[in-house]
Amino acid sequence: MHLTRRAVTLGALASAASSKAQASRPAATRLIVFFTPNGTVPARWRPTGTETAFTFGPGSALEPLSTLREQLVVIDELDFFGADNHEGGMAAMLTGTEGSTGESAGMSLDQFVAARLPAAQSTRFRSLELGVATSAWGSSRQTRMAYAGPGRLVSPDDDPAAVARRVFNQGAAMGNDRLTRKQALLRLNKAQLARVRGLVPASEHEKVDTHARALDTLEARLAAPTGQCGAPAIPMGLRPSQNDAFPQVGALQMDLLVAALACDATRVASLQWSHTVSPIVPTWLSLSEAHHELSHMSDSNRAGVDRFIAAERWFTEQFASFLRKLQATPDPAGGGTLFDTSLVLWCKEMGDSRAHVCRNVPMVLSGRANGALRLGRYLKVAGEPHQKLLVSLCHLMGLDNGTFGDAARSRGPLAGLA
Amino acid sequence: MKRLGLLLLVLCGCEGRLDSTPAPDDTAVDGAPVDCTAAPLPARRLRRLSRRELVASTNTLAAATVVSTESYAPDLVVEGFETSSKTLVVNALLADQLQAVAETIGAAVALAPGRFGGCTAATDACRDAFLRAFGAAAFRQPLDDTQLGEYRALYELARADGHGAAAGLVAEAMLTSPFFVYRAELGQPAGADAWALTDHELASQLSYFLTGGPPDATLTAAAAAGALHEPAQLEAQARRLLERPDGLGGFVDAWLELDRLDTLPKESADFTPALRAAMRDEAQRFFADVVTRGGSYEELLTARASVVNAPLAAFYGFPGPQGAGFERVAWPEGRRSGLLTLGAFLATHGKPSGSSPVHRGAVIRARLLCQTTPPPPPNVDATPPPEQPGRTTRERFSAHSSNAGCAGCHSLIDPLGFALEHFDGVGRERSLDNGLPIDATGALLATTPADVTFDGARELSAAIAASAEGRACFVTQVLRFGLGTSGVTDPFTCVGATAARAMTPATPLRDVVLSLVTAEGFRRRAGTTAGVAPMLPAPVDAGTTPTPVQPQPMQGLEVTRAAQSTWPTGFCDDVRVTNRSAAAVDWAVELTVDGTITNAWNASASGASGAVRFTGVAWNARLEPMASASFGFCATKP
Repeated sequence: MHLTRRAVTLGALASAASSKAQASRPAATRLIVFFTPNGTVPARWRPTGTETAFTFGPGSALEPLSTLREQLVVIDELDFFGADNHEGGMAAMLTGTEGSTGESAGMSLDQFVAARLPAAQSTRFRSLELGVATSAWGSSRQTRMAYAGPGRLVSPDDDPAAVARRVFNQGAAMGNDRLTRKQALLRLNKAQLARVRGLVPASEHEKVDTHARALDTLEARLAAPTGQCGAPAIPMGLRPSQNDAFPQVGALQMDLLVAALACDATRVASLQWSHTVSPIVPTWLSLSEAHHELSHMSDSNRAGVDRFIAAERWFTEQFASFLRKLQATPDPAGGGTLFDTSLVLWCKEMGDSRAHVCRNVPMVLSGRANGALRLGRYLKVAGEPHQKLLVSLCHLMGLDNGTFGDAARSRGPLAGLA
Repeated sequence: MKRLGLLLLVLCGCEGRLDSTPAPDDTAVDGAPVDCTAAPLPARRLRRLSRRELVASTNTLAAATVVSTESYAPDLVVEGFETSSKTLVVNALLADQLQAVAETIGAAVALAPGRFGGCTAATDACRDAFLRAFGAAAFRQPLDDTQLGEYRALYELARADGHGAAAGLVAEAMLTSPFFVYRAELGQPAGADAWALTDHELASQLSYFLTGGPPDATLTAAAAAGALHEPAQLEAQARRLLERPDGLGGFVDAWLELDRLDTLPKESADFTPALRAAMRDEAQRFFADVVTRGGSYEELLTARASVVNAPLAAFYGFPGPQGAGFERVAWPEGRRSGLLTLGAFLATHGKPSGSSPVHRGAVIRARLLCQTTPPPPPNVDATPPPEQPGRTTRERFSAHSSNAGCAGCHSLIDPLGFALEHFDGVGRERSLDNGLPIDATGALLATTPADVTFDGARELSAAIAASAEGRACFVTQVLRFGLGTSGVTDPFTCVGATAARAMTPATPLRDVVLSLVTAEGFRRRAGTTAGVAPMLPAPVDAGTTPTPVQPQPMQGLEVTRAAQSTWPTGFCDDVRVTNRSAAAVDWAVELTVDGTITNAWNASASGASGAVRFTGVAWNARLEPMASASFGFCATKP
């Protein structure tokens, strides 16, 4: 009954999406967004070589990905038109254009794909947002990259124990009595909420409706099959907000994410490492400055830039290890690995961190996307708007929206990508 | 009093977490400022408990520390607080987290259900006793008949497993119920166009405002007796609650962002988690001490005493209490002075390895004066020179004053932080920085009175205490945190404006809070829903708002000009230029400036007053079709 109810709720979106989906073209099964903060030093990030013959120089930010070079599309020279600085970049990165009222309706890429992708409507989580120390400063344009609409920020879950409970320890894991009671409890909460709606002025209706949608989501998840999910063990006493727990929390979140994808809990997932202006101090690299300070080293301060690049390389290693986990994990539908069927975006919010600009923003794609993405390439896009990349990514997911964010900037996909 | 507006400044350099302060577009500024001359009442609201309130409410019910703020996803930061009633919602993630907490509490109740209702048998009488007792505690008012019926039915589902199991299920349901998660400010009709909050609604509002948690037994009894809406009763209860050392329920912690201290990396090995916790505790106790002792805003900023425990006193290097706990201790001779020299403030807003004058200065501007600073313009290398021997921290930022492009704005920020240079990154006093004498002099600009010079923390604190902006900002911040206000259209702004007008540096803070509680806007609500605010400017008691002048734009250029801030001797305006033509242009705009420009950002100005021509700078001079550029300037008034 609850599944039916959910299907009705989501039906309008799904049918709109399916009419747009292009079944003829290969498309990725799922989208994974991976974010690391504070731009980069472009000269130390940029590969050398041509589109198909390129290398990551010794000591460069991407060097830890060298053995995976053939599994990547490295995109250089993207421009976030209309956005600059930390917060502007963070807000534009996945929305294309913050607050857009166009085709993407102000949503971020992940939320848009989750809303439009037909297959995402029947998984237990329409999307899953995981974070690593994203929340010490609350939820703001600075600390969030996912938007459900203009001004509607989506918070990631920073706590691996909570993620494990949400994803792997609900629904069918309960006994029948417990499930029946839990469903009754949710029905009661919903009935009370409906009563409250009748008591409040119209200005508060949206608040109540948001809550009601959240309860619908919980109710649908309760009834959905959990699949063959195996959760990694979470150590006791972990304090995810502590600076020094950052590497451990990151590793756990990557494991949880892969495990969730392996049992098809979701088709759209993101992992956000800290946030722009990150205050994280990479003590595990024996560094003592905050990441944001590290990102502000002038070229004249060579040792300082080296310290920042050490932190950049550490993030690159995390991305490489994440890709290897995808390569080592079978796709739940069979016939390949998660890497073969997924589309992965590693995004940043700025280009040169020292100048606070959103030009030459470095991006890396990976995942075979069921053959939709040609890998092993280094693309210099000569200042193309990043909105076009977002359009391309939608197309790689089987959607056919013509624009993303500002329509004037994003007519069509990024040339030469797909 | 001055308009509670934002002073928009600009920086050419930015360090630390400067742009973590709320930018104007983070805020819920959603229309014209409310017209306080019409004495509008606030709108009827449904307020979701904030994270702190959820924690206090849950732990009170459990009579144990079961949850912390980390149990819940953070809420949207609006104007520097997570408490805006407009944006506090239950999204899917929070609903899930509420459910997880409720399961924990439900399991605990199942093991010991007798704490509520006083019985443990699955009889009808015991069932109802539990429902009424737990329900009243969770919902902060007695269950109504509908609710009683609903929970009886739920109880029946688990009754076969015994009273404990059934009570646990009910507890779980109640802790995820909208009647727990929200508190209503809906009221009952009181005349044609107004609503009077019910006694129980008032009890909740009063209690969460003054203590951060749900009503205690005395307040609940007063509400049940039906007399709390009488102003004398309300004030008497408020006075009673203000005697408690709750410090407005963690206000100072949220106001000064001290919750960040727990996770902030610091190089000092002796800066232990226990010491960090003690510092946050000190700040909370210090504020509560000032309030309960009848201290004023001036006292808050200039007190020569604090409330510390022995380890903290030892860390600061002055004599501490003899006992094991926290005690009020007068500071020995030294440079400390009230709020801004508390270890928690200095350490939270210091760097891992040292002080942080620019960031500290920006925080003082944003949090104590309600004047926010935008990020630096693009393409400026905001990298300060590295730390090196033979140079003080202040000297590292000398470019901020020697570079004319930076100085206009940094002169408003940096000196406030320089005044605190006698305190290191973990809040210890020092007489030398890098082995060199410390220059802690400066001037407090853009406040009323203007341009007060100071040397060190004591004189800066005294200058802020004497400023109209400081007092008005204090009231604004209390309203944002305690009553969930946000944006200039909120009628609560008028309640604050009235209180701030009546406030002097010497007014006891307790009286300031009481004036908010006894205002009509505290206990009554407007009959109509929050909608369109009257299109009139905010009250200004000194100076005037600069009149926007219709510019003569170039062909196809759309120019909008908005006042960002005004004070008796000056103002700042923001201007946005949009190319509405089909071709790229190098833009130029002519504006009338009624005054003398002191600094402009993101544009070059030809001339300083009268008809001034503004042109773009390197990164924004050329506008593609439909693209726009923003610039601004500050000027003194003629």
